[in-house]
Amino acid sequence: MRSPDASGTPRLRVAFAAHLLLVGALLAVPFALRSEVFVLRLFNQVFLNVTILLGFLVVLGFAKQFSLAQVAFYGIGAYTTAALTAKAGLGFLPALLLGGVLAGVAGGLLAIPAARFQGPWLSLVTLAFAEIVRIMMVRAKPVTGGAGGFYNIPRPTIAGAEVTQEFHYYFLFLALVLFVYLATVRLRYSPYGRIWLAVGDNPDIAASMGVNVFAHQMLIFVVGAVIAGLAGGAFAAYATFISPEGFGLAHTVQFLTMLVVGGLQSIVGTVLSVVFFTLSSNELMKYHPWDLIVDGLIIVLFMNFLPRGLGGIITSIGQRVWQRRSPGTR
Amino acid sequence: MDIGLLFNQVLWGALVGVSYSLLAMAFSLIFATSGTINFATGEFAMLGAYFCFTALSRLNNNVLLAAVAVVLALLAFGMVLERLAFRRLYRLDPILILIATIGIGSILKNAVLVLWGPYSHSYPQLMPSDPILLGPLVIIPQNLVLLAVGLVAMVAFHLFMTRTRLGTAMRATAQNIRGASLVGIDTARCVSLSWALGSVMAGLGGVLIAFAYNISVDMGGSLAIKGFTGAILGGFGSLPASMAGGVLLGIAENLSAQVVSYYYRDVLAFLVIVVILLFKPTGLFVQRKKFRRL
Repeated sequence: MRSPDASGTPRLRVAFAAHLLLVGALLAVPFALRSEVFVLRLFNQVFLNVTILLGFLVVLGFAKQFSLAQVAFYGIGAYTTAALTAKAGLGFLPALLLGGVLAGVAGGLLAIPAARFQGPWLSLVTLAFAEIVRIMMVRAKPVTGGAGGFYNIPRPTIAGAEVTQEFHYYFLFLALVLFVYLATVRLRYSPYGRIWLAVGDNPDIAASMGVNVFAHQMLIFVVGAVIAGLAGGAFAAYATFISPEGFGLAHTVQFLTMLVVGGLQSIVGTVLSVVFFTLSSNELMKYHPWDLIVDGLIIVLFMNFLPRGLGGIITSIGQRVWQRRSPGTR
Repeated sequence: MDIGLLFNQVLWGALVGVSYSLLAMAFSLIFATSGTINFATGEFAMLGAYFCFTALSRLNNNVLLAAVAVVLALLAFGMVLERLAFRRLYRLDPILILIATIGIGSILKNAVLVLWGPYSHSYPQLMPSDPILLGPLVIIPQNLVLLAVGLVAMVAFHLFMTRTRLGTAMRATAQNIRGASLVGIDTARCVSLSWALGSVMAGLGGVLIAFAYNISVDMGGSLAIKGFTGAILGGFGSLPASMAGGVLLGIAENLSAQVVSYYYRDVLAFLVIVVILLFKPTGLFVQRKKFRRL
């Protein structure tokens, strides 16, 4: 994490220490709560959702490519991993990787037509793609199990050890989410990340600065799709059952809610928002379909009154605190 | 395929296509004034269909009264929604408005689920169902009337937009909102009216498709996709072109269901979107040079 201004260094040290503490605490959790399966399950859901949302964040947040196809890539990863482990007898890790790769290839292919469009038009084309993928999941019955879903996905085996318990999955998902999180943070503050922000803000200006906008849009789609595909593969091995219903527009709405509340551009905001929604949706789900009404209301209210979301609040609080402590650096 | 079957497929396709056209026009209208694709258009249509269902049953199938009640309800709905949910958003990135419409769609769909329940309903048969036989042609009178209602509504709407002062003001707002307000047009009212009229258009489309099939909470999604496919096929932003695109899609879809397979009918719409946007992004009926809003 490099920062352009020198005043950022002490802030980075604080952030680094906070991250170390958090990872340490997360590593300790399953030892303290080994028998609390319900709590561990919540953690696992949070890890999975954070992974998915980081994919959304890269594509929709950083690069403002308003793609509605992330859920489709999530589904492609899930079905690939499921089919490879259950039908081809492949190990979990290679299947997961291949799921990510296939999703990435699909993302790159989608980018060829989709990158020609901007804004609402991009949403339309990607939505069309997502719906075609979903229809294929229903129709390609020999591979996917059709509308009834894909049953009996084997539980993962890693290096001979079988992953069965909730706390086994905990470590698996923690590793996945940390990997994706670090990759996202690294990308965000690398030259690539800055180019993606520029492409998102104004592709014409980015192009005039010598950026190959099309190549970067393609890369953004591929990165987003790989993240979604990995999350999907992990989900398939965890749930052991997947169906086309799990990859429709309703889920896009739920993930969008989390992204909007997080503030569309902020990594920390997104993570906080995912944690909040994953925990609260466990309660709200009992009141279905009211939970989806609440989701919609939250989207509309945030757009109207807090378009920069939790991330915006955090940034402005942070700036105020920092300015008071070291006047003159701004 | 014999001529009678072909004719009926085209007629049925045209009826379904007219309702796509109405949605396509709703998309185009709101896009032109607000700069966003309204992802809740399908839910507007569903709402119209449910309003009409309730109105018909409460008013003892009095079609005229029900029609007036539904149109007024949809106008009010569109205006209130615009005032509450969208008016603050126009200064933001259009993408944020789009996210808000997705949220509205989710609210409407699930609110209808709460209020009307998850079961699908079918509309009452309002006219004698005996088909009229014209040689090899079989015509169901109600379908013919519905087709006429849809066409008349679209023509009336087109005349309103081109021949009245208010319609002209709305077109001016759509073309250049700042310029329009400079010459004294109340642009806020025009934008609000476009949401109201968009709701009526979409709602009427929903009512027509409901007579053809039935009503359910899930009807909005696929209907919306057909609607904007129609709009793109004809030419997004142009009302007559959207109209023609919708009817064309309806007919093409029905014929393709005969020729290829019923199950892949829905894939056709998406392929049309991608192919048209790639090779003729202005749509079939709009020349590149003349491409403009409304």
